[in-house]
Amino acid sequence: MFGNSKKDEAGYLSAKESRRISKENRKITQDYEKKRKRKNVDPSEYACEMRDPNNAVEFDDVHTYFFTDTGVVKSVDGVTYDVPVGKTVGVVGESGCGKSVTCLSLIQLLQRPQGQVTGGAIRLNLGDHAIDVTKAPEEAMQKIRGSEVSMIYQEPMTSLNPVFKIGEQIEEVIALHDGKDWDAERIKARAIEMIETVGIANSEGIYGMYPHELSGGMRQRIMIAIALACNPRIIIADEPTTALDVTIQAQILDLLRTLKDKINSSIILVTHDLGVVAEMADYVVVMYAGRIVERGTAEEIFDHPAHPYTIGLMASKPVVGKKVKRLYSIPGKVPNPVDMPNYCYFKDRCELCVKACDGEYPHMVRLSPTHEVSCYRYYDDASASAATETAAVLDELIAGTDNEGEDK
Amino acid sequence: MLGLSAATMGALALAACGNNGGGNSNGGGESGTLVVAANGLEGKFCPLFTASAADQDVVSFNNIALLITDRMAEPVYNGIEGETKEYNGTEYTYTGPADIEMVQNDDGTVTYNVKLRDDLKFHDGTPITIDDAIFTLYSYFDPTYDGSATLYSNDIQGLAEYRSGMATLASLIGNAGRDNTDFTYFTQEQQDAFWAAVDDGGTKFAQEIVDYVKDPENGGSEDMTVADAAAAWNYPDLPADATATTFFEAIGAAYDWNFSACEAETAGTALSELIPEDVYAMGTQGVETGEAAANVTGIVRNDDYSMSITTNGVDATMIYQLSFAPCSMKYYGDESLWDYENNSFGFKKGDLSKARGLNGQPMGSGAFKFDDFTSGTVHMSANEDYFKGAPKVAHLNYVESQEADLVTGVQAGTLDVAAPSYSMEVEDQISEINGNGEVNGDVITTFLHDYRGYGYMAISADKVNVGGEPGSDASKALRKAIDTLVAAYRDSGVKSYYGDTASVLNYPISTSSWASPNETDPGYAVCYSTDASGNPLYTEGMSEDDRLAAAKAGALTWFEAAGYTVEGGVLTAAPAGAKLEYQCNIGGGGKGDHPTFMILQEAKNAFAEIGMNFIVNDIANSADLFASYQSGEAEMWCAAWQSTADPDMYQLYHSQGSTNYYKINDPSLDELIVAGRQTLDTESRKTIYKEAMDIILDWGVELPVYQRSECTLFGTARVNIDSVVKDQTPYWGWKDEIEKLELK
Amino acid sequence: MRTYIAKRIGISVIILLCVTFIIYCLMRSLPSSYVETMAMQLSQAPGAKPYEEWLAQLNATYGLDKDIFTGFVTWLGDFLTGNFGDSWKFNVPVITEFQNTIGISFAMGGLAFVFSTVIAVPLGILAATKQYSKADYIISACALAGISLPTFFFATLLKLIFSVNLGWFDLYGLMGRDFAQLDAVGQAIDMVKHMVMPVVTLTVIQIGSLMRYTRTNMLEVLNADYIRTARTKGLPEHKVIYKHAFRNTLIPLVTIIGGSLPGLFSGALITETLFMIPGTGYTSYQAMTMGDIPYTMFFLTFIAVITLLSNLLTDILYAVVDPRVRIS
Repeated sequence: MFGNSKKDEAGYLSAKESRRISKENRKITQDYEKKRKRKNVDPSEYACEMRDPNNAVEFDDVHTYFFTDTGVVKSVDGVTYDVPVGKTVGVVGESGCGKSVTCLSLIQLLQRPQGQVTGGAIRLNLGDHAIDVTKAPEEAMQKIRGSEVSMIYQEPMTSLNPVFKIGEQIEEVIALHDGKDWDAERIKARAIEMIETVGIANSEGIYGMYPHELSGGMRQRIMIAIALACNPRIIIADEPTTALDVTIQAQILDLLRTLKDKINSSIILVTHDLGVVAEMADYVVVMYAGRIVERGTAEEIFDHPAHPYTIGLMASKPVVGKKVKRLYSIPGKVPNPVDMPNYCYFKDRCELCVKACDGEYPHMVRLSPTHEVSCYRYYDDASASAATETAAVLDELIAGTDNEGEDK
Repeated sequence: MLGLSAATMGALALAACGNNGGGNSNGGGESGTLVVAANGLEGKFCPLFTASAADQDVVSFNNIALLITDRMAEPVYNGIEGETKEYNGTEYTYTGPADIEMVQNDDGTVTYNVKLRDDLKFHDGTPITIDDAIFTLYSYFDPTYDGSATLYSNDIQGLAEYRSGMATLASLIGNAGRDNTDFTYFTQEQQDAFWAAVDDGGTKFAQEIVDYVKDPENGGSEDMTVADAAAAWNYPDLPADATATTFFEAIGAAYDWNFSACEAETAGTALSELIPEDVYAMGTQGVETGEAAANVTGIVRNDDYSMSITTNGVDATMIYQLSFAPCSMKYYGDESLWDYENNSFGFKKGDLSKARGLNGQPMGSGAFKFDDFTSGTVHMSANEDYFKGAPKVAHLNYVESQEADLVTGVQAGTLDVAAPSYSMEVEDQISEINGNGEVNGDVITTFLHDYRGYGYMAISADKVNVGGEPGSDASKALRKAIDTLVAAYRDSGVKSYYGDTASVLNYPISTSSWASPNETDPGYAVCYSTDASGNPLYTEGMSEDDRLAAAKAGALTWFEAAGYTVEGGVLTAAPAGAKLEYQCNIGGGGKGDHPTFMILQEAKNAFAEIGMNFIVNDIANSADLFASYQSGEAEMWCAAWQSTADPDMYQLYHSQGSTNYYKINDPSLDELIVAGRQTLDTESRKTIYKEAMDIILDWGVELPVYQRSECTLFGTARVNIDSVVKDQTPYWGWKDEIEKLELK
Repeated sequence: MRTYIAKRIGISVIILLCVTFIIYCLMRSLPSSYVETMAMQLSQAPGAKPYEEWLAQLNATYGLDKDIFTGFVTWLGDFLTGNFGDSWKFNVPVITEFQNTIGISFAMGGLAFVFSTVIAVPLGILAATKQYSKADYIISACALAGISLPTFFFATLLKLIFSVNLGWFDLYGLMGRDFAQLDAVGQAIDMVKHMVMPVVTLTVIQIGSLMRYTRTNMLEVLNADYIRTARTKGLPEHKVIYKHAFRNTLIPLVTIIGGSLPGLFSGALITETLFMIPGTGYTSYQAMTMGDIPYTMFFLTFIAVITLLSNLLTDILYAVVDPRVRIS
């Protein structure tokens, strides 16, 4: 009766432990916050050089941790990829793999004070100079948010402030950056222009309406209008169409593409919808449990996916015309983010494991100048055909279980 | 934003305390402002209509009273010259605005001759004349008067006729004659009954007088006729062949057929015993005849500064009624409506609206002028022309306060004078505040005097008796048995509840009254301290346990005398009509919060030991308590009386008294009470009342318990204590010499 | 909007009718009525009429001999024609007594309201924006203390410290001892001095709950998506909080503040009693315990009217602050 049976459960923390952890974490986050909140920081502190001036953003071994009261959650654990200027990068992965967090790290809107970028660099190309976002103080970030980097969120229904008119909310971002010295008339004209640009016919009318008078699709358009009002270099779209129905989805995506071309900005498109990726992305990054497991151009990824995870993703897509008894899904679940193992994160779920998988975490293997994968299967044979082979193996496996299922 | 609001608050506070520190400032006006605590101000400051105690205090500051009573509540008859009387070893002189002379006339009436000073002024400068006093009296007498004064109930000549065109039923019948046929105001039956009584009992009454006069021992002779006898009895105008009946008719006519007044003529038997009760009652039964008299015959204006008031009979309480305040006729009434000769007394009869309307703005002639009454404070300023001398304090504030704030108010300087309800807690609080463990110190000075009232336990004679006879010896013994046992616990009970602030009483009268027996008086005895044979139960130096044991033993003797069976120190059987269980109601708020509660509880245990079930019924709602004994339902109860200056006992102990809840009915007691009312000499009254109280105690219907002290607190730092009245009693306090009070 | 207001006023009238009827029934059903007490007193004077007669006479005078419904209709008729009757306890017309007391209660209540809002709301916002910091804990602790402190305890404490021990203020009352001798300015300052402690008492009592309420609502708002959008636009933090977040917190705040408007008029009974301020709280309490029907009816009807009006006002303000509830 008086024994504590919970002690044996995984993830159990005694009160003492829990207090120690929160105290530690509190201290760590306080230090970070202090650094971020400095005023009048010399820009040279966070200036840097882009590795490749054709890149708009360079993620370089970014580590983003959440210092919670139950431990440190390593949300993003060593992510490296580039976003070239004017291109769309699609980031795919399961829920909780860290794709949104990576983007939030870029714009530095993580959940404070728990979320902090603890390592690596995120270099932002601002034309004539570049800055490292991870070292920039809040002051500097406020200058580039909205004007150089902007973000579109998943929930258009709640993303607009219900007590302000649409026009006001668009004008706000204009007046803050581009329109700092403009007069009211000009700002208003620009706002109405933006409303028209995103494909809303009754721009004058919408200008004077409140968000609750608009539908979901229209609100997302307005969000896009706000995001694009100051011609940012990078647009982060965090699952922008997940909450919308398919027809609107097509329109929104079209809109994004058109606008991107117009102002020649890059888009980081976070999604778990492979169809969207296929349509929009130039490059694709596949994330799993906080790390990138595969990246490459859209053709490469869709034509010959290399990582068993990616292959599994593709396999679990329902194909029109193909009859299956049961839709394939990758077995198992994402590991506990507080307690990550030292071997390949996917090992426990992978159906294509080899002996080498018992070793430590595999490094990135280059299959082509643009295609990289982090899997032991390609250590010896780093080629596209190997990828195709691996895919075939999985197909057989799937077919086998299918039959088994039949016999049952 | 935060800073701003904090700054505002800070500025406000600084401005507040920077400004001379609020309550402790003493300035403003040359000789300062005295602040007195009040409780229950209602804003009715016209002397005619004032009701609450606080309002009455304001009236007393604002007005003078025609008659003054001294420290022992004795009237001061020679006010203009002043009277010097001794109290507690010091000689004090009392002055008042008028001289009053009481003259007992031969026909049994009493005349009060009032002579006013001729140099008195109201606050507006107009002189006070006797017309103002007459105006005030007629206001009190007015049929529409609904204030709390009871002047209209005194038996002043002609008052009843003035008030409501009333005549007594008896006088209507008597004056109508035997052959009357006009039955507007009474019936034939009543008329017949009346004359039958006259012929029967009335005649006997008169005959008795005749016999008495004719008796040689009284100086008469057997051959005197009725007419002769009547002449000797002060009725000289009877025809020679008068019969006793005629004699009686003459007596009746002389008293306007007021039979109880006729009793004065008695030669032995009371008229009430000779004629039937209902006819007797006709003598005081009022009948509306609709023709009010135009004036009160008993009020006579002699000159600008004197008048006479005549009452129909001797009434010892009447003199105290003359301590009313003369109200300015020109202010509260209408000068144009004053015409004494033609019966117009400054206002239209039945219309007191002008005076009522001025309730909030009074004007008198007292020590302080009324300024205003706002926000719970009455502001008054000194009257330079006060006849006893201008007050030393320039202003007087009478501030509505809460009981809880009284002591701390004096401590903090918000109050200068306060009168909290005195108890052990208050005593301790004051001692602590003074810092020297005493009630007199650098912060607070305390003046104590006895409360003019006392607490008691009552036993209803009708409910607690033997065999249905309230007045039998056995019943008296029963009640005294209960009283004896309870009485023994009084000392400890009172001490634990009140500490030193109260004392135990032995007579049903407050020690503040002049009629209260002193311990040094002959015949003074601790009540209920003997056994049934009259032996004292207690001796000096007895231990507490011995005393209680003696009390128990003594009670048992009384129970035996009452007819109970006592076996082995325990009651086993009660006589017929009595019980082994009695209940006492007490208003302890349901929590036993009453000084007598503990006494009853301890007595209860003692009663249980001797086999009697004594139920203590703690009633939470005082209204229910009152109802229980006022309805005659309760067997025993605890309550308290508040006494007036006059110790008249009629209401409480006379068999006809309206508040005689004890149901005591003793003819000799009744006689004494009536006699006490009818002499005006305090010494003889005191003796009479002592006798009366002995009878009451013999009946066992009342056990006096405690008499507590009252206090008045003064702020030592601000008030010159030497200028406060010395030797304060309930009837002469600091307010009575307010003009001498000084601030430091 | 106009029709909305008109409809609401119409409904309010009906509600008012029902409320006044209920109040009247309650007053008539009080166990110890004013008339009975008075009759008992009057019948005890020597030579007076007996209790029953007095009772009958007084009942007739005060209109209590009619049954409840007739009595109510009579009262209603009088009320609508502006005849509010005379107070039984205070013997002056009800409206006079009321006018004397409402001013000071409203002033005290108003000041306390302003102060408590001005202090509580910013502190609540501060506590919310700096959640889990030292400032947050201190503010929350103070709020808890403010909510938990009983009025009489706090007032008595103030009296002890500031009046008895420090001697800065008078213990109670509205006017100092030399009030009558001061000039107009002096009198004003004197009254302000006497109002300091009561207003502080009232303010502190109200601060606690308002602070917590603001904090909770602010936290909820700060976690909303549109705040994230505001930050994404690059707005400085203070604009995010005081423009975007605060405007949304205002919505529930308006409800609370609107709901506390009747409290301004009903007076603070305990505070007024403890500080002997002659306000409506104390006066109406006395009237109610004595069973003084005219005054009580007037006062409670007044409060009912104020409550209904402030509800209407709150709803209108609500529409002003929150565009989502506007009726086009």
